[in-house]
Amino acid sequence: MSDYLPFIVLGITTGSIYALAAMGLVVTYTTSGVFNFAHGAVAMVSAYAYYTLTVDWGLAPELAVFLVVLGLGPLVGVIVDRGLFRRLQGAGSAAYVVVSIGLLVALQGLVIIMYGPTSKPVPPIFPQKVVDLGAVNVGYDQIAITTIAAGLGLGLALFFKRTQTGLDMRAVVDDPQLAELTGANASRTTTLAWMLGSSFASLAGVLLAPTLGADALVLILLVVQAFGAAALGRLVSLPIAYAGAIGLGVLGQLSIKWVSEYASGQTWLSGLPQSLPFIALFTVLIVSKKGSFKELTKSVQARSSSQTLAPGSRRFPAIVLTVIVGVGLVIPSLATDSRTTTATTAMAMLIMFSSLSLLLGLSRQISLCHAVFVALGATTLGHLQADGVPFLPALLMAGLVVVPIAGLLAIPAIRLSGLFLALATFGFGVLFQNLLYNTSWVFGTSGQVAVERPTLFGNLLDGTNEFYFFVLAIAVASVVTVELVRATRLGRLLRATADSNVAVETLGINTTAARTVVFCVSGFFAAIAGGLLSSQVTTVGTSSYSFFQSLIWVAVLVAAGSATLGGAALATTMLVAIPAFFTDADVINYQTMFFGIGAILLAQAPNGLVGLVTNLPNTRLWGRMADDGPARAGAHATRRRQRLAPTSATPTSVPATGATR
Amino acid sequence: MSPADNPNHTAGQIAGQSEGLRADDVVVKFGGLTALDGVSVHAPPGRITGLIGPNGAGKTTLFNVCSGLQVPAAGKVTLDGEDLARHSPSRRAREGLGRTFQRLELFGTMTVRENVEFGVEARWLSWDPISQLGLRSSGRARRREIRHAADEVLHATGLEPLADRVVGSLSTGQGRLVELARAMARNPRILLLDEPSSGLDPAESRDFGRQLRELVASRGIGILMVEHDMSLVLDICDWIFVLDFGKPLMAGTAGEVRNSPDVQAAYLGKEAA
Repeated sequence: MSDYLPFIVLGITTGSIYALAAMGLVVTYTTSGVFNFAHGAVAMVSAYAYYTLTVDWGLAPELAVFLVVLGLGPLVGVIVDRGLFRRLQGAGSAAYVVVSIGLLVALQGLVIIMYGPTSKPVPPIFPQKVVDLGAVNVGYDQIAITTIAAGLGLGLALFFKRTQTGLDMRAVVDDPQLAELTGANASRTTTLAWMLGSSFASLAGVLLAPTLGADALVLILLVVQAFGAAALGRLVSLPIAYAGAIGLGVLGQLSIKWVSEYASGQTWLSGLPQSLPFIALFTVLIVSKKGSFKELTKSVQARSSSQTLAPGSRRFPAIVLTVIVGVGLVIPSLATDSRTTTATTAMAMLIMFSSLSLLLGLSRQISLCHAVFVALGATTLGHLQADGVPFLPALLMAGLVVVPIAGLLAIPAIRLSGLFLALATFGFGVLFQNLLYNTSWVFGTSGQVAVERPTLFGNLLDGTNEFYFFVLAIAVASVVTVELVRATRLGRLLRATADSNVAVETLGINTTAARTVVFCVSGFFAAIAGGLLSSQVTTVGTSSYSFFQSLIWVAVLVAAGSATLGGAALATTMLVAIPAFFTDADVINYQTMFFGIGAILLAQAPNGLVGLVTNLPNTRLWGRMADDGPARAGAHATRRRQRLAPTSATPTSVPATGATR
Repeated sequence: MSPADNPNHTAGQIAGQSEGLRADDVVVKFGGLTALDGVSVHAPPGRITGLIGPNGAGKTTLFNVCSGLQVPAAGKVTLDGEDLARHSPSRRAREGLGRTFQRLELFGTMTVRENVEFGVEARWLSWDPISQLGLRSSGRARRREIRHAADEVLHATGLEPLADRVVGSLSTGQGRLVELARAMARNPRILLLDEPSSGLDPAESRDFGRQLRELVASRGIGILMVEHDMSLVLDICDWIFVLDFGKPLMAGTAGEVRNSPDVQAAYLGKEAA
């Protein structure tokens, strides 16, 4: 037993930190209805602020903690609430998910620009002493952290039960307008909850920093472990979130011991300890009874006209496709070899973004595990080639292998709406990476799989141009397929589902089938993209497809425009082509930050940047410039109507309702 | 005897094909709160049945129970005698139950016509996934039929001038009409309307009531309607159920409801609060 004590003590300590983060998450979610994927990023920023205050400015650690947790934390909370989420009111839950993902990506980029990618050691907060309890030595810091978490947990519980503000917070999420009637100031209460939740994240970050150092990715990944604990309490229960975090912390530490003692030969188990929270997250989400997770994100009013998509974006994009093919065909004759190599990557990434846009833009299902599909496509292709399967059948099979995996993920996951689907795919992505990436049927223990170039008619396509045209052909075929899905009745059904799932259901259509199919199709093409990307560089490694990639892709695609092929093409250009022209390593980091900011700004736009540009002729500014009569913002509808019925007059002549007939 | 069983005012026959929608002793609890406590309603074909009550009376919750979006803790919902308990919302719709929503659930990125055509096409759906996915090819004749049926519904609801407008750009009142048209397009036997007239002015509201009467008369469908516009309800409903705080308060004709002191107390009580 005494062997286990140190692990239990350590488990309770780390669990206490997760508990702080989880409770912060629960407070903001239950009060504002917004699940903050960037919760870990707030913790990370706080850890770096603590580094700056102590190391750069030489402040005492206690003072620095005070300033960060009670100053920066609440400040970030106010900014995030008032600056980012408040203006989304009335948007669907997907917009909220995208904005918080954008914030996460942007903050990560910002921190790496400011501090560099390496971990920064920070001074300890508590005295480095231990208390000898006989069987086990307990550090002062461990006692302090456990006490702080328990005390704050208790404090929060009392706050919600006993104080008026606490009661207001619980009322506000149920019905902001009703809460206002009873005298609660919904707006102020929500902001207060954000300050509180954000401070808890800050505290978790600062408490983690001395042992881990300030490290952008590690801290984010650790704090998101709190998602699992929060999910145990269905994102709404503080006591369960607290107990769950402690439990997961202890279990995590114990599993480290078990794995090292009994299963050190099992490589896949080495990822178990840090996966436990995600197992909890994923399992709780998919096995819960339908409806037991209540989405608190509410659209306050019906969506406004400015969010509707230009009807033209629903037809088969023949022009955009022609441009892509045209440009694609002339690139090799104009560009140098290295540029053509970049173009090859771009064509493969176009397939990936196109597949992602089926989910994000068409059916508005957020997949945060696309990197897994891409990685699986790449590694499966490599494995099949090693077994002697020729390239094209192997590529096809690599795509097909992902289909059941995407399907199995989708079937339980899509009964979950917006936010919870995003969370489940997020948990699945991290879980797959932690547990399965280093198994022999994915990357293997070396973390690297060799992939060969294809052989066509007896010729190995090892030249830059030959391979480029090969990828171009597959890209065009894939994109055409995706666009056909979008333009057919299945596409319309999915769009209807995105607009209102419940309306589709009450018209007699079970939407599960459609939403599963689109997940499978998307996974298939993501895997094809992965195969081509790895074949280009003839190898694929674990680091290329971490869970964070999935988040960046979502951010880029939303910023570029997730609803059309043009958006996917722009996303590809922004992600692949731009860095190819700038050799500075910082460009990548700035890029990450701008993608995050782009996603935040354009989360509500119907089709990102592409949508803004194609909508330009309809905007007021443009209308004035072109002196084109009363053109107004959001006039797609008018434009289309006028095109269809040129003789019909201005909108005002349309009767207010049809009741006048 | 539950009010729904009152034999004097049941337009259709008690049992068999034309019984319509019947909800018996429905109980719904949200945590500790009892949203519906033993509520029964009956909506037979050929009749407009009203469901009224102050805010929070549980009217929309009852609709959700009927259309399968909310699982009741107790009680039974039947359509023409068939128990719907194990039927999904989509299956209930295929059996002939249509509805609209208090908070609009429109396909905002589509035009009015597309919304209505979506409803028309849904008529030919069966349980099998191929037809559900819209992958079964439809011939030219079918497409013409769909277009024609959509035209008819657009005409009947007066939405023709707006047919090619994108729904997201319409007003709430127009949106409600589109929802009604889409639900009608599906050819339901029983139609649940959740506050169909909100967003309409009094004149429009009267027109709307007249349209509903015509629909019921010409197609013989049954309508169950939640409505806050009391004059509309008293004007067009053949039979009215009144709920108060999740409990059945009374049921009767417009005249009986108008003169009921209980109903007046429930509404006045609410206004006083």
